[in-house]
Parts: sequence; structure tokens; C-alpha cells
Amino acid sequence: MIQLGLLGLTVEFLWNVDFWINVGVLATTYGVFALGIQLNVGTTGIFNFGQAGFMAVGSYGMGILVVKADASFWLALVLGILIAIAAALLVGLPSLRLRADYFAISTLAFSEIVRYVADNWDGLTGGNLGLFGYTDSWTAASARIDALLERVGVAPRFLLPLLLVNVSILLASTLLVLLLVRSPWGRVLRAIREDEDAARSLGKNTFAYKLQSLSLASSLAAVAGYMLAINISILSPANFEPVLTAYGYVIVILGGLGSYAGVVVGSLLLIFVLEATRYLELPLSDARIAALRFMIVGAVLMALVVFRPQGLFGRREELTLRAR
Amino acid sequence: MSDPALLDAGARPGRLAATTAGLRRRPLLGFALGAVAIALLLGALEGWRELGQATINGIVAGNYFALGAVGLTLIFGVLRLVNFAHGEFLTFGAYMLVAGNALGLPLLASAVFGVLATAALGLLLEVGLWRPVRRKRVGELQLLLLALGLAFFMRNAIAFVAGPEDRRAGANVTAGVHVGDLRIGRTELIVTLVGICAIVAVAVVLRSTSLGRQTRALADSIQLAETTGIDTDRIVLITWATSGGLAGLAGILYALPAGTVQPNLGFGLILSIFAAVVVGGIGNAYGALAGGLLIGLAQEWSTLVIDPAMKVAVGFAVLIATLLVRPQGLFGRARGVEG
Amino acid sequence: MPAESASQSALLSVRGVTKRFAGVVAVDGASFDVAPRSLTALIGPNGAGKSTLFNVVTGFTRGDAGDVRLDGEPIYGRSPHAIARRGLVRTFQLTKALAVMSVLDNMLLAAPGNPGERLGLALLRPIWRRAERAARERALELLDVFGLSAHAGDYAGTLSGGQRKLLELARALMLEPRILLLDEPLAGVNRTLARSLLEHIEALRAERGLTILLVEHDMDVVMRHSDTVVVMAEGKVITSGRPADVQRDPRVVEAYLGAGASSERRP
Repeated sequence: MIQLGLLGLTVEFLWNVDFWINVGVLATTYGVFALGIQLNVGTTGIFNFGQAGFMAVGSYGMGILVVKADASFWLALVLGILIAIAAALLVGLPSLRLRADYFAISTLAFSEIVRYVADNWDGLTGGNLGLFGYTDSWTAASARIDALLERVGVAPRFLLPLLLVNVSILLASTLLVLLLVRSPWGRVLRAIREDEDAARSLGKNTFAYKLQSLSLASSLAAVAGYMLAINISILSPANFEPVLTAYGYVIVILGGLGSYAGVVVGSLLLIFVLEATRYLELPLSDARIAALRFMIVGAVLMALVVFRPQGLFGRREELTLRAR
Repeated sequence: MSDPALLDAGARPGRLAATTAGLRRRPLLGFALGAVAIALLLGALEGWRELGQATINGIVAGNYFALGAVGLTLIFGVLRLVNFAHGEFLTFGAYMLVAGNALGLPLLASAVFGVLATAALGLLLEVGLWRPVRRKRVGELQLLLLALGLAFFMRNAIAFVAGPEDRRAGANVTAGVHVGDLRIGRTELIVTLVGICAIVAVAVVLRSTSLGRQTRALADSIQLAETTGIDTDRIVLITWATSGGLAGLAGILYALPAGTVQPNLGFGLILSIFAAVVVGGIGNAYGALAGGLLIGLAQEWSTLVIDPAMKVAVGFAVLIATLLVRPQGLFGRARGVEG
Repeated sequence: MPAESASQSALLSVRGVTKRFAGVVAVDGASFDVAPRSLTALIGPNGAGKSTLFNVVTGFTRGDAGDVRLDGEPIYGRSPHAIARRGLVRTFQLTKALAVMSVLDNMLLAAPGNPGERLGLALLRPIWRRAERAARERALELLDVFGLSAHAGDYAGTLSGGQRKLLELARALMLEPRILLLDEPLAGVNRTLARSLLEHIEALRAERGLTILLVEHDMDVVMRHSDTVVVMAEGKVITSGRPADVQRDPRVVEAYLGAGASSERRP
């Protein structure tokens, strides 16, 4: 048994395939989630602090449609995204015309209110008992993927179908966002990030572009919400703590503001560290360990912002260019 | 520097003050009339006793919202910093009250200790974190993210040290005072009176002392304050101590009648406090005081017609409505709100 | 110049624009005209309300009253991007180079009517490829005119202050403006660069037939280069006319002297 004595960390989990599948499923989920933050913050320069709220709206929307309204799961996936876009418009329309701090406050407040409503509107959301029973169609699809895998000689494994789907979605959505950012549309977003008044003076309706950027981020949050909802099979308000948004920012800053490959790397790195530290054997209660982990996430975010704002791969000179 | 309003503020303060006062009176009057109309409507529909009770509850809540909001808005006004960790200041204050109790201090002394400790925390963070960071000239996003990271760090540090379980705040929460049909808890009554005294004291200090006027000038414009020779470093420290102390007081005033303290205490209140700040006009101290009271009343009045569990959502609705109708808030000036 | 009769032939006509800040009147019923193909200068002592008026005309500040027409078409109260698209394009006193974007991207951004700027079409490259290529050709031509070709691939943030001014001017031309509003283009610029900027501005008028309105402090420049001068003081347009006439106007002298020591002139 390999053991790092002092910390009581057994590293055998590193040889466990299920550990890596779990890391992969979570990292792809947070990757899609953080992709939206990157589009907003890194490319458009609008400070969306409510990504966890949009994720909750999308996934609860999907779950409620399936469980309470008997909608088809596949249709609900589409409608959930539309609900998330509607939420983005609700928050963005009043606040995106205003100064950046108003938008930051509004989005943060929004993500709080969503969690609060999910917690208290028992009849609709199941409250803190959770919402479940929306996974039947997925279970069937998952079995089909397993059957396909068996045909090419891969033994069925828990969460493996979800991992494959998640990886495809992350790659596809990263590619989509990259193509958009490199298009003339993305050029306008970058101009807004650099100087919104300049973009307006050049005939760009910056408000509309900011709303589009937020709506796209919110759609990505909804998709990430589906990945989470399927993974845990039960939606509860505790899954959408605002610490998720902090995770998203850690990922984005780690990978470098504006870098989309960085999002993928950053989410893998963060989730690996978060999951690996579960194997720390500390003489503490579970609640204290949870608090310690979140404390560390907060501290890491602060340290990154102060000491390495360009992230692991970003270029520092880009930050200094603007200061001139 | 061809900003006429700014130049004029320096040159002709009398005229500026007179005209802004004139501008301020109108929205406030409209707001007050609207509030009275809503109150009358609610009273007629839902019963006067219920309205009276909800109003008392609203004033109780409005107190700690107002005290929390004024500190948050002053820090924003002076430093252009949205302190997302402000809710954790409230939690910290309440836990320091618990700590004081545990040390065997009488309740009043514990409360004073809690206020002073939170003020000290504000100073410590300014010297150890915010000032060095400002010297590095970090951007707006970096400041927001630091505040967000600090909020998670503080909330969970408190949970880590104190444990997740509820702690008793140590006040008698069963005794009550009856006025006719209406009831108010004895502790609630006391903390409300203390809260009102604190609010009045803050308003008087801001209005009448040179320190208060300097702080408000700084909140209005840092450049202006620097050119008129205000010692900004000193004012910033005093603002942090005030913001922290008032937040600690707000946390304690919330915890005493509630009976218990838990790590998410401030986090549960911060949404309403932010709503109060925005309604009052970000950066405006009087606005925050009025906004706190307004949010308290709006939330408690709403319980007459909607599920009481949803009352926090009313704060959010008021926030969004304010942004749509009057983004500069009740007291704010229209300049500089748009992005 | 009597206002009513002039508005017939004016390209830009400003009438009764008023703007108050917290009760202080920054612009007080300002009216003036800009004739087509002219170089008109808006001058006045510091704090006269020039920049505020400029911002109201370009839509960046909402006015309290007034009417602004571009070639007869009302533009008062419209949003900045709508006004820019109609052909009234401005620059800023503090240059707004988009720092972490290449010089070429700065130029391409300004090209109007690129279908690739719509979210729905952004992924359909074949649809916008031709517009993009045409914009690139024009951008490179203009960069050549302003001597910035060598920097096309550099981040705009790496340019010197003077090069940024040139880039901002070139970028504005990408919109094919009918009238160009320059907000203190010579502020914070050394003499050599100021001369080169003025040459470019003169050439724009002579070769491209552009109409130019500029806000300027420097009286010498204004008197030497402009056809018409509009003078503001304390929020009002006090007079307008040919430079030589305006210079002799006692009201103008008084406005500048009355502003006393604070009426700055560039060293």
C-alpha cells in the first residue's frame, strides 16, 4: 500500500478506473459550465456571477417538465434550454444596460433566489427532498450505448456511457464556442470587452450582443445542468450552491481568461484535485471536511487572482496592454 | 476635465445642494405615497391587525437590513468595491457574540465585543488584503473575484472552526410584549430600539460631523475628495471599521431574537441587503438606511398575500424592478449608472 | 450665420439642445449647423459644455431637450450605434484603441454590414467570407494611407499614443462616414504629430469630400484650419462664423478672458 504517511493519503485510487470515470464525468460537466463563464467574462467582459442559477433553472426546468408535466425527456432537454435563455433575458434586460457592478450583483442575487425558490416551492420542485424520476429515457439510452460498447469488446461500466456522451458534448460545445468567438460575431464581443463605448461608436448594438453572450452562457449552464442531473439522478437545491460559480471562476482563471482550451484543462485539474482530496483521511467530521474544502476553493480563487491573474497558460502581457 | 457637474460641485456647493435636494424630494414623496397606498390596500383586504403585525415584523427586519446595507454601500461608495463577503461580517459578529457568552461575559458585553471584533476584522482585511491589492492596481473583475473568494473562505472558515451546528445566542426569546392585539418579542423590541438608535446615530454622524461629510464626499467621488485634501487612507480605515462594526451589530441584532446562530446566517440575509443597497442607490448611505426599511416592510407585507416562505423572493423582485424603473435608486443621481 | 435659413443646406443641424446634470445646466439650448464638406470647429473655454454637447449629438448622453438632424433625418435621442450607422461617426478625446485586439481586427470590426456579425450566421462562413475579404482589402488600404501597414498584425495596445490616434481615425473611416466628429484630436499630442494629424484631416476633406466637426482648445489650430467656428460659453452657443470674424467678436474675447486663468491653452 502506497501511503503518504503524514497526510494519511492513500494513493491507490489513482489506479481505480471508476475514480477516473467519475473525475471525467464531473470535469466535463464543469467544463461546459465554465465555458459559458469564459464566453461572458473572458471574451465579452461581462461579469456573470449567476451561472449556478442558470444551471439550476435549466435542469429544474427539464426535470419538472418530465416529472410533473409528463413531457418527453428529449423535448424537455430543448425546452429547458429555452427556459434558461428566458431567465438570462430576465436578469440581463434590466441590468446589462447598467454599470458592470449592477450586473454582477443582479446575477449573484438571481442565483441565490433560484436556489431559495427551489428550496421552498415544494409542490413544484420537491423542495429539499429533491426532484427525481426524470431519468427513464436516459437509462434506456444508456443501456443501448452499453450494448454498442459490448459489441466492440468494452465491458459495461457504471457511468461510462454518460462519460462518453459528456466528452462529446464538451468537445462539440467547445468547438462551437471557439468558431463563434473567431467569427465576426466574436470580434464584436471582444471589442465590447476592450471598450464598450468604442464598439458603440463603431455602430455596434452592444446591448444586444451582451444579451446574446449571456443567453448562450445560460444555455451552456443548462446543458451542464443536464449532465449533473443525469449523473446524480436527483435534483436538490444543495446541488446549486453558489460555490459552483466559484468553481467556474477558478477553472476560467486557472486556464487563462479568454482561453478555451484552458477551460478544458482547468476543469480537469480542479476536479481531479477536489476528488483526490476526498481520499485524505483527516480526523475531522464530514461537515468540517466539507467546510475545509470550500475554504480552500475560496483561498485558491483569491490567490490566483492576486498572484497569477493570467492563469497557468495565459499571457501576462495581455493584461498589461490594457493598463497603458 | 471638462465635466461640468464635477467642476460645479467644487465651485458652488450651495447651489448644487439646493438643486439635488429638490430633485430628491420628488421620488421620495412618490415612494412614500405609494407605500401608504399599498398599506391601506393590504389593511382593507387582509385585516388591520394582520397589517399591524406585519408592519412590526417589517420594522424589526428592516433594522438589520438597514444596518447591514449602510456598511456595504459606504464601502462601495468609498472604494468602488462590491463586498460580496459582507454577509459573512454579519455571521462573524453573531459568532463573536456566542464566543463572548462562552467566555462568561454578560450578554450586553458579549454584544459589544461582537461589534468591536467585527470592526477589527474589517480593519485587518483592509490592511492585510484590500490595501495591498489596490496598490497592485488590479482590475474590476479581480476585485469582484477577490470579494467572492473571500466570502467563500470566511463562510467556510467559520463553519470549520465553529462546526455546522446551531449555537445559542443566549437571549430570552419567549417573553413578549403586547400592545392591544399586536405582539412583539421582548428581545425583538429591545434590538429594534437599539437598531433604530444606531441608524439615527449613523445618519447624524454622516450629516453633522466633518468626518461624516468627508466620508460622503469620498463616496461621491474619490478624485474630488483628493483634490479637496481629505486624508483618504484614514477615511478608508474608518469606513471599514464602521462597515464592519455595523455589520457585526446587524448580525447580532438578527441572532438575538432568532435565538440561534449558524454559519449561513449572513449568507441568508445578503440578498435582502443587496436589494436594500440598490433600492437606496449604490453608494448612498441614507438610501441604504431607507432601502433596508423598505425591503423589510415589503417582505413582511408580502406575507399577507403570498406564501411566507417566498418572502425573500420579494427582495429580488424589488431589486429587478428598481433596476428597470429607477436604476440610480431612491437617493442616487442618474449620472454614471449606465455602463 | 442665421440659424433657420442655414439649416436647409446643412449636413448636420443642431437645435436647442439642453442637458442638465443634477440641476446644473451643462448645455443650454445650443444650436448650430455644419455645412457639407466643411471643417467646422466647436470651441470654447474649459467647462463650456462642448464635450457634453458632443455626447448628446452622438447619442452617448441622453439630452433633456433639443433636435438634431443629419441631412434632414432626425437622430436626436437615438442610440450611439444607430447614429454611427447613419453616417455620423465620432472619435474620443482619450483614444479608445481596442488594446488586446490586432490593429487589423480593430479595422475589420468597424466595417459595416458584415453578415457574420449576426449570431445566426456567424457559423456559416461561406455567407460572410466575401464581406470579410472586401473589408480586409479596404482596411489594408486605409492602414497604408495612415502608415500603419507594418503593424496590422500587432496588438493595438502595443502602438504608440500617436499611432493609436491614427488608428482611431482610420478605423472611423471604415464606416464610410458622412460626417466625422473628432473630440479634441490634438489633446496630449506633440507638435510633430499634431501637424501630421492635421494633414490627414485636411486630406480627408480635400480627397474624400468628408465633412468634419471637431472640438478643439487650441485657438491657433482652429483659426488656421477651419472654415467655420462655433463658439460656446457657459453651455450656450454665443456666436458662429468665419474664423477671422469670430476672432474679433467681443463676446468671444470676453468668454475666453472671463474664464480667467482657468482658460487653458496648450503649452
